[in-house]
Amino acid sequence: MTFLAPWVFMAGVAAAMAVVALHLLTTRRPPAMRLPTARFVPVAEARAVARASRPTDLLLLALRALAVLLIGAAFARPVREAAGPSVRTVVMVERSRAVGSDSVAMARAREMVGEGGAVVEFGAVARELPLDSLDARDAGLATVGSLSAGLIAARRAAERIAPGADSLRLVLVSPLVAGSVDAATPALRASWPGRMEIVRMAAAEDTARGTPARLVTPLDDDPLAPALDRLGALRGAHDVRVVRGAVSAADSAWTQERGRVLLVWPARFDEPVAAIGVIAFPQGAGAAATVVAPFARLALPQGVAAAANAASTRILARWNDGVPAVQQTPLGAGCIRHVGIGIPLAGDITLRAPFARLLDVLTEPCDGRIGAALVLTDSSAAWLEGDDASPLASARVIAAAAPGAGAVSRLPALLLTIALALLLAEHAARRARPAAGARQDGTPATGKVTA
Amino acid sequence: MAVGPYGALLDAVRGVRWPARRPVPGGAPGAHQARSRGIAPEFAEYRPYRQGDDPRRLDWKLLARSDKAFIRLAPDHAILGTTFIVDASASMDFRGKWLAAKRLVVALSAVAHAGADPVGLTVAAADGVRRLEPRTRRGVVAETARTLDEVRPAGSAPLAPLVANGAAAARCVVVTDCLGDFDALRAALARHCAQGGESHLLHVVARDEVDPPADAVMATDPEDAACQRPLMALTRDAYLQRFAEFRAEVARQVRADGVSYHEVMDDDATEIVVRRLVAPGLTASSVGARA
Repeated sequence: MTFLAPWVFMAGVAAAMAVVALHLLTTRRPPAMRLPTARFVPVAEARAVARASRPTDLLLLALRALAVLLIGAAFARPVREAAGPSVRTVVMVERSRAVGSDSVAMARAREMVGEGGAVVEFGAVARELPLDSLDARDAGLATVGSLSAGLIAARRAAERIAPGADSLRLVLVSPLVAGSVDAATPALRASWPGRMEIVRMAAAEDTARGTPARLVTPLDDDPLAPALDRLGALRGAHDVRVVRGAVSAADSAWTQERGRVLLVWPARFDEPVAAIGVIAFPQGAGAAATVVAPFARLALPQGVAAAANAASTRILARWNDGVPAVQQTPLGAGCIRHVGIGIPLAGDITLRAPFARLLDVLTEPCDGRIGAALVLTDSSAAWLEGDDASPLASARVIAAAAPGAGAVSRLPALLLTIALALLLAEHAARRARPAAGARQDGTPATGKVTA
Repeated sequence: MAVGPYGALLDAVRGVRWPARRPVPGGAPGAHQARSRGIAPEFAEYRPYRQGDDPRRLDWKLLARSDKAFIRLAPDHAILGTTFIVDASASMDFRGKWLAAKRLVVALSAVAHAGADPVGLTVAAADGVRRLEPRTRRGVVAETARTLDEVRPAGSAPLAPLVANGAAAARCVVVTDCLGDFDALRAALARHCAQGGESHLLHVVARDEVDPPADAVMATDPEDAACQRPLMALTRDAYLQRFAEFRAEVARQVRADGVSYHEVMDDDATEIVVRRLVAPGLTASSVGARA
């Protein structure tokens, strides 16, 4: 048995010692002595503070001291020490498309979890996995795992396995891409009272590499063409098809395959109203792309706007007044993006960096962009590991912070019951003692003795 | 003479004499100067012859020279009966008080007996009064010692009636701790003195009564179980003061009545106490006080 609040138990020990001291230093009736000249002693209270070299009433002393000790132990949040390793491991394994090999990641998790540990997988959501079913999977993985969700699940798993352990080891199996860290991650990491070990996994192949974007356009001098060429030269392109006219059946069929993006960008040019801003939001890491130019504001096709509230529909860019500018709709394993941004024929806006950034967002994969280029460096992930000299997390601290941890253990109730029984026994023993004679329990034998 | 444990004490007081404090009434020849004149060889004074005097006591030579008849007188000596009245109450059974009382009585009995005085004993015990009439025969000291050894102090018995019943013109020695019927005893001793007797009061005090232990105790009177007082640091000084005042008052009152008063500590050497007690003219100070 160990205590989650040992200082309370120490207070109980101190109280028990005080009880023993009170048995030695207490007010008692002095021992009787025959004295023929007793009549010359003035009348006074027949009690005197006396110090005994050894305590009497050992039964009462033992009952009282034991009761106080048990009460102290009960409030010190005792827990049983279960048999098992003193250090248990919580493995956070990322399961997303950012991980190069999910099977390798799970294998590493199996290696590191050890006896009595726990494995927590985290993608868009996090959960604890049964140790007997740590299998790899391919479908249904998020683009990037949420490290914050993983830390929360790891904390819950740690609270579950903390009783019986001395320390808890936290292991993170992840490629550590930038998108896995959000604003809550530092605070959640700081709440873990110990260091974290990071096992770096290889990130998935850069999905930004692929075949160049194919531009299907009726224009001879499309201003979008050089911008797409420039984008492909800089970063490569995905399986992207840009249709500047009507969407054909072949285009839709092409889009059905996984990872393909059909960018429906009408080559219709209305009169630009004025300089107007458009803001594009990437799905993964990275800042929003903002472009201010005399764009023409094109209406999105009928039906597409109606589906804007559908769960599967995603707004990739909005005008500065909040109206959707680019909308993505899944189609088979790929997706169709309807672009309502009219590009002016004159000017070099398409060759400027803000537009290139906008184009980069619009041509990213349907699930967002992942790749080795977005993996956090060791230096930027050092804060996740913490100080190497810092100890492992204390299982007592984890268990003490767990909600309802005290209510789980039955030991406090048991100890309090025993203490109550001892106090009742003490009361009975005190009543059973002879009424007369020297007493050391503070009970007055007589108030005042007079001749 | 079987005197048991008192042999060394009797050896120590051998040769000690205990003269009377004043001339004793005439009587059987003894060691004490008598108030009457006798016919001893040594001359004391003349007295005119009165009718009825023994003609053989006429100083015929003086009659021939002066033609006057004078009776030749000489100092007379008589015995002085000594009675010891011993307090055997429960209060005497404390520390060495009873032993000191026994040793005092035995030693003084031996001294008095050595002076050819009749020695008697009266013990006021809880189971009754034990009395040995004054006698001069051999073995009276041993009998006194044996009687005292047979007594175990207990209860409480008045001493004053025993004094009143004693011979009027005798020596009365009361050995007590003055914690009983002291007022009545004092009156009886004063009356005994007024009748021409010689009274001694030996006040036996235990050292632990004068200087009790410093530890807190519940003092219980052995003669009165209801009297229980806590003797501790808070009450110790008051107790010491009260007891000292009591002893001083006892000594003052008894001496004012003409009674010889002596305070004897239980750990005093008995032979020294006896020698100081019998010293002529020593009547006021505490005999038991150590030099």
